[in-house]
Amino acid sequence: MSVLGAVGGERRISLPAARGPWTESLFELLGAPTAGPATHPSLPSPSDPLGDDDLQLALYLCYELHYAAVRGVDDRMEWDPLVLRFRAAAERIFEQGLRALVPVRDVEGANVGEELQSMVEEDAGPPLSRYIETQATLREVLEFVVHRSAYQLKEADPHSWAIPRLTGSPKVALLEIQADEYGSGRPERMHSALFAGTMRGLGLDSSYGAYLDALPGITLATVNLISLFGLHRRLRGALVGQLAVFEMTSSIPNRRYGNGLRRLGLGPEVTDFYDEHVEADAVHESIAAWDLAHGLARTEPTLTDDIMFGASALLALEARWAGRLLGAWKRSQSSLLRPL
Amino acid sequence: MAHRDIRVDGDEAVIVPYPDGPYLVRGAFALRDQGGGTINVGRRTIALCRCGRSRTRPFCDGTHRAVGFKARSEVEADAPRPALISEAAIPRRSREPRLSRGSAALLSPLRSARSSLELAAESPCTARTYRTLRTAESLLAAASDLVEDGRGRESADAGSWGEAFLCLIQGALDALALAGDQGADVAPLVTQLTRVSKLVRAQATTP
Repeated sequence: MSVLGAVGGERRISLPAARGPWTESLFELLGAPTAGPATHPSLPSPSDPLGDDDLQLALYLCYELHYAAVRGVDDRMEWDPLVLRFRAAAERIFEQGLRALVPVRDVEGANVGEELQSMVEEDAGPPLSRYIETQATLREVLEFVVHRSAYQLKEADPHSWAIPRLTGSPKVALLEIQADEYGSGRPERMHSALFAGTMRGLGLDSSYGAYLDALPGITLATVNLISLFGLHRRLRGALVGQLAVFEMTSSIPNRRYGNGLRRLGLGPEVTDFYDEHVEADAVHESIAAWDLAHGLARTEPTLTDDIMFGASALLALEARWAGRLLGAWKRSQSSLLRPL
Repeated sequence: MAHRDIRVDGDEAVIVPYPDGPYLVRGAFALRDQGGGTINVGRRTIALCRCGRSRTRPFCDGTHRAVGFKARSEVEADAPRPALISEAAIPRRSREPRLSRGSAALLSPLRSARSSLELAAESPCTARTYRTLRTAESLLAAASDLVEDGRGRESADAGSWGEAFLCLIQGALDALALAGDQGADVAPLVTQLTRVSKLVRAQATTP
């Protein structure tokens, strides 16, 4: 492990010799990637892809096919070529939007740990956690929890996609974090289960996907970001950068969220999720920044730019999301598409 | 660099100081308090506070980042002593406050805050709270000196001057927060000082 030594590297194979029509055909396919249309032929390209309610919901549902059963949809649609082609068109627009949002940082592979630290220190972001700690009303807190349910009812799952795509010490580091996320052998301590407990304690519906109709595009974009990075091996560096910064910016805000809920008179059944994250993420942030992200940059230096891209993309999207919530509340409006 | 596998299977506990962060403890370990009582850890890998500012000691709660804690992972031979006021306490976006104006408006609340602090320190409290309140008072004294010295200065010096002033006020607010944790009633003082630092920051935006 370690801050000091990292082992691993990209897993790579060579194509063996063809054995007949199936392998010959396959090699022909693999040699010439389909130049798919940049956009779906009959669909408009949104001017603001990151905040587009329609595009982000479509992409979110494409990804949900990999996480959950969708009522009325055949399970086989998860791998249906036409759905995948549709998803690819939406992903292309989304990824272009992300790349345009985030400045490219020139980082030496050896300094990724430090670069991530200074990125987090420089980024103040909108003061959402302070607001929730000191002033938010119960209605605003409920909205905040509903927004977060888009991710936190499947917390850690998108990062599990990266496990087979990493090797050596970064893989071990990711597993160390994931084991803790999944409750270290106790299903009731799984973070997604703790979050469901928080929702129930607040009188909210904790069933998976219950509030999808109310979630705006920018909220869904913060989750689509992780699914996009998680489901593409090509973007494993970005996923690692995203996770590192997510953990590095988690402990203190979670304490504030817990304090905010206590201020409103709510008990441990509601605050447990946030209190657990104060200490858990204090452990995870060190592992994620140094063993995972810094370690990956050491073992696969070509991923350095992607690690920083994933990290910046998370901060930029989260800042926009937080800004939407605070902005709506300032105008005494609901931050959801339909009020609770 | 030699790779050392610390994912131990046996009965060895391994402790790693992380750069600018906590000590991570892995392997077979037990955490006990001085009386021998078990401290519940609840997870396989734990992070122990290294900066001293966690609110959940002995565990880390991420505060090291907020206070700008700096430390290497390797053994340090001559680590700098932590400054009384951390760099992180300096507001990042402080512009150049116009300091020659409004100095009197700063001096008078500072004076009253200092006398309230003196009073609070003289009322019954623990030795620790006394020292904390005295620290806050001496920081405010330094801030007042700065206001007096800075009166009428050229605006060229204003940037660093205002930053130093805000830094001292922030230091006093940090000390007050500690005293508050120790049970002292510092809420009115905090409000007053927050107003003072807002005033300095506001001067930066109004010509």
